[in-house]
Amino acid sequence: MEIKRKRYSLYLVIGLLLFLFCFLYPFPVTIESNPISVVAVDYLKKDMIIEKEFIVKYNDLNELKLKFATYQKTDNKGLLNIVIIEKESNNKILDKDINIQEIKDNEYYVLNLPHYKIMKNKIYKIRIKVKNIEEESLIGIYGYTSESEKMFINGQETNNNITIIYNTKKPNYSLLFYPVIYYLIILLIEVFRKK
Amino acid sequence: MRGLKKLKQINFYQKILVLICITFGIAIVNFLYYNYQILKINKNDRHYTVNYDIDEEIKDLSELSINLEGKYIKDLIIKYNTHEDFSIKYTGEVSNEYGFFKEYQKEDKCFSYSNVCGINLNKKAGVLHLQIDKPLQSIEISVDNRLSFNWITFAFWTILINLFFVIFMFFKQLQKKIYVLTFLICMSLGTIFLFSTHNMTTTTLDDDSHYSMANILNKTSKNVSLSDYYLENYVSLFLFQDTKVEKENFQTFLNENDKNYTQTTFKYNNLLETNKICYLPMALTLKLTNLIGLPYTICFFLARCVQLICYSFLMALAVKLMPNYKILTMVIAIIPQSLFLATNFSYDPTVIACITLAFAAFANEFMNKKTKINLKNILIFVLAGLLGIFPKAIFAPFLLLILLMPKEKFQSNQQRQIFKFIIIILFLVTISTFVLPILFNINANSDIRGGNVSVSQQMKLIISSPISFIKVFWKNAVLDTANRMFSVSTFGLLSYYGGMEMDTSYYMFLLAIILAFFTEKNAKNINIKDKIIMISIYLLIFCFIWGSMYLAFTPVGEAGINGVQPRYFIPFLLPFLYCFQTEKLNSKIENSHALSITTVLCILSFALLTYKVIILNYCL
Repeated sequence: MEIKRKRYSLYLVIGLLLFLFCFLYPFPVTIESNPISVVAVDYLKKDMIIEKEFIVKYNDLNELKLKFATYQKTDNKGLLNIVIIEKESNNKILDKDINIQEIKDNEYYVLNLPHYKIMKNKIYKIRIKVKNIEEESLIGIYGYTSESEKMFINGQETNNNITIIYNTKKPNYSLLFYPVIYYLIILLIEVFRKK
Repeated sequence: MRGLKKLKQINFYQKILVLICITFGIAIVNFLYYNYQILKINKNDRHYTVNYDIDEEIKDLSELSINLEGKYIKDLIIKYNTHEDFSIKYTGEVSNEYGFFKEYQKEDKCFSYSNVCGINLNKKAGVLHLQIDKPLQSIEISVDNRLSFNWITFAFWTILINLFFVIFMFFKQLQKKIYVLTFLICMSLGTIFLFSTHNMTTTTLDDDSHYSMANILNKTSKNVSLSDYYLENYVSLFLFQDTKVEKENFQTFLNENDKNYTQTTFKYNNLLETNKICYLPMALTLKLTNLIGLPYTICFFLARCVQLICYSFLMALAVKLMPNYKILTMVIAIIPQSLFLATNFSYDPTVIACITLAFAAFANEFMNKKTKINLKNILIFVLAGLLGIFPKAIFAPFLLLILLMPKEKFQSNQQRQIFKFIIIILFLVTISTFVLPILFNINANSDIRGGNVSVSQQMKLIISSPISFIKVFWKNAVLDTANRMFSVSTFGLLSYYGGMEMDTSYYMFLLAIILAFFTEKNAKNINIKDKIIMISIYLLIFCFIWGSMYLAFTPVGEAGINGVQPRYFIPFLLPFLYCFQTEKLNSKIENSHALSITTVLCILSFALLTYKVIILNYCL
């Protein structure tokens, strides 16, 4: 009887752990991405300011990604400042300095966002300011062209837009099938277990 | 014949020695056969540059002529520099097998990732005209007649002939353990596919997207490598890799660019989702081999090997579990299309092997009416069944098969009721993985490859004109299902390489199935009620297959059902045929004879198909 009770408790605990994992564990998910077709900003120059507005369709956003080109140059030097502002309230969501040496050719640069600060359907503005850059440095930002979406480089409107990829981490509820299947199989084993 | 009989009597080490001698013999014959033309040529003519004439009116490199002076040409190699892909159209005169010159035409595509392309002639050639569709700055044309060893044909003949000898020499032992024979044949024939097919994607239907899933563990959210990009996006490159140098170049390109990144956006996929869990063995192999630091193409090749091993193992286990019709199960395990898919990135081998294994466990329990239910068989049925159903949730009614278990198999009525409850819940859970996404987003399951498709529009059409739908369904689903189950494309479709035709290889394979079915000594009667229920379950699944493709893959308003592949029916070949067994089939052919004849028929059918479709066209 004691052994039986211990066995059942073990089944229950394993099942509960499985359930909690499936119910709570946040898996990374790509929720939206702009296309990538051109280098939207060719060469960053000192004091250049790039501004773009965007609307997010999800609440639980945890990272934004930008893709840079260094034209295979590895010894670029300088400093970029990236600010994300909520347009309506002018609240700063993110204010981050990036050392240009950290940027790699054709790789995404990941900007981690404070969780739940980004709200669904609100308008946000991303501002990239080149604080400092050596003259020989070659840095571009990948993007796409669009008639409907606009971006500003040093205050001038352009059809070129930088590509922003929005990622989040959230539980995948379809995995909840596993604890159900687990308990059914345990039940099956117990029903046919030789007494 | 006496010599052959003596082979059976020699000891194990002598048998191994015989196999080694055969291998050496094949190596020598293979080398001489593929190089005898070259051995006749002067050493200076084995590798040389060819001068070309430019069209005087055009005066650029878009139209060239070369005079090959009627000499034997193995490979014609073009070297170039370009940033974009281009095509070359070859026209001119090339000899046939008897040396008579005939008109020759071929179109080849050259890619920017490489600076070499070419054509494999293996014949004498005269004047050839080359039309190039993009402007090139420079071009160098050469003839490559160097001696080489054709490893693919060597592997093909060595595996095939040694397999025959192994079966012949160890027949007594293998006859008692047909599951070992099944594993041996699956692995041997699968290895032929591994060596003869190109080590890349887009050789098999949708393998680029299957590879993308299996490769997800190797990607970081920061980048997608150039090698991944080529294997996940470029279409049918292998069709233009005629020469050895092109194949090697592409493999080198993949190995050198797995750390160079592209502009492609990365999207997360969760391999734990039920419909993606079948990629785990391949995904783990890719991850592990990558961690060890093996070259990109070796990781890719090993993942294909793991898929073949899993398939062969599950099928061998199914043969072991089958209470009767072991030979038929073996024949179904070595269907060339299944083996071909098992050596490439696809989830079909998992579906086929798991459902066959689950059915074997069911048959083992169902036909043995005297003993109580064995938990091991039930667990194999449920777990293998679920793994087979997860990628194609429309196969979920298959789980209901186990409800046919007779009352006497249970220890009590309560046990039987609980068992029924569990199976029905499992069925509802699995079918919900297919139904729930449709309920939440009706067009989520639409497959845009079908064209103007829309699940919601198609549903509306069915509701507004039910009679028309019944007519369409009758014409396609009802009248065409039997054809899909036993057609040339069921047994021998080798995806983009081509497939079996209504020829010797097809008839041999069909004959093997018929023989395996009718020569079974342990066939038993299944009562009519059970038979009807079994067939109804399979027919329901077939309706689901046709119905799902009508909703998700057929353009709205079309009077046909598109996208129903014959391979969808392979998992149900054994269960379907199994229903028709009867004790009245009293064959006089002995089991050992039936086994040897069906085995030889299957292997010969496979050899003919592979030689005709792959070796002759892509490996010489």
